[in-house]
Amino acid sequence: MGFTPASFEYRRPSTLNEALELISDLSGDVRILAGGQSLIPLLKTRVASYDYLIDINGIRSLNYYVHDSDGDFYGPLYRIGSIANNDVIKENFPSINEAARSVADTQIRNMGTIGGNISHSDPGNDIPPVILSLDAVITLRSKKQERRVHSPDFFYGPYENAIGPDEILVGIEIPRLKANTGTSFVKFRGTAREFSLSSAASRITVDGDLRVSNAVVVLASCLMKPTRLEEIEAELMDRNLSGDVPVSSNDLKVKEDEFFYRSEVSFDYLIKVIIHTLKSSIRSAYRRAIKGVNNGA
Amino acid sequence: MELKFTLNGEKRQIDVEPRKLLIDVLRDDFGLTSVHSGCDTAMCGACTVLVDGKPVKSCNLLAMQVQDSEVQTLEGLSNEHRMKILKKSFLKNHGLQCGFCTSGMLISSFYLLKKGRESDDDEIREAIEGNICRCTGYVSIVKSIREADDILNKTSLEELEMKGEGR
Repeated sequence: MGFTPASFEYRRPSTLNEALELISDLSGDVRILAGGQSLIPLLKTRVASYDYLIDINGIRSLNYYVHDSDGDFYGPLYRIGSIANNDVIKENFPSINEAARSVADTQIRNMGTIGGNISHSDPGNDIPPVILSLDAVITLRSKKQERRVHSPDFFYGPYENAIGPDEILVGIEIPRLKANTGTSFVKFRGTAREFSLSSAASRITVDGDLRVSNAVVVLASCLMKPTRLEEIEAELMDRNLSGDVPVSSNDLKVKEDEFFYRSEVSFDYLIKVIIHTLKSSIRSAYRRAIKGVNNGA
Repeated sequence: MELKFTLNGEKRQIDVEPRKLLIDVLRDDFGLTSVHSGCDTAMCGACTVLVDGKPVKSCNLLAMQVQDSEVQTLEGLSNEHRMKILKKSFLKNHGLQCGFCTSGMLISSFYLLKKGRESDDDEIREAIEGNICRCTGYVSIVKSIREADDILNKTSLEELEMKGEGR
């Protein structure tokens, strides 16, 4: 027998109300268990231990995905593997597909959930930068109330976010994209199995002349939390990006204390990697955006 | 705590400590030693089993997480036609040397071949991205899966039966 987690009390509610009762009434350290693909390694190595684990896998109503005219709606238990293999998502939100496909490996994706990936809030998680770039709304519920948190207000820093001690993440809502909009997610890993050094999620909208009319660019993994780069977004406005993407390290207005160091690479190298991921993601989102215009013409 | 699940086709009920991992229940309580403990950090994939038909890493799951689910290990898949073809192809193409990663490799490739259409080499490599092999350099594993895939998708059932590889 290898690593075994420290003892905890285990609860497996079969309804959301039951889970909300539990999380509000149990005293001590309580943690929600979804897919567990990030949590179980922490328990096994005893980096983390809890008095109670509330396993929500028995709450079938939390595992759904709905695509309709208002947008896309995800239940927190929808698996990363289900996202990666869903053709509707791939067609409408390539950046979500790319982020899901880049999560760890097939086996981890089959267990891991979208809700878990967001609420774990590791700087290296792949879904957070994408949902920030898509203006997602996250619904949190407690026994007493339900509230909707916009993605820019959700992430606080490494492993910290807006979820209160008596709340459960119950839904993720992605608004429908405007016409002629392209999205993309790109991440850069030093070796195949390590956390990424840098990741970038973009959402670019173009006008009829193929010029950028709206740009959202998010940098993550190398930062404490996924962050929109407004100076770079402004730089892209009204431009045709068919040639080079005008992003350089001078535009990168990130303060030193916003960086999150994961790996022993030099700062200069990290900056090169960041510029590379940003450019790749912007270029790919732009190409997808102009495809809409060219097909419509 | 009571855990009820289906294991290799049989309904099972067992009392487990909630902190016990699925791999330990499978190996210690049910003697299913095809489930290998390699890295114990959810990296190597030697502990891969199917839960509700999909490959997962049994060292990275609490046993309680498979409540009411169906679990299949290599032992339970041995009589499957696809698995027989895969095993033969691994033997023929040197898809293994020490064999430690092989049960996980077979389960991941079994899942790939289930989709019922031909796979390209990229899909094969993606299917085994969660399985580490330190002997073969992967080329012969990809070749093994490639050949099994070809046999399953390009050969008619009658031809297979003539070769003694049919069901």
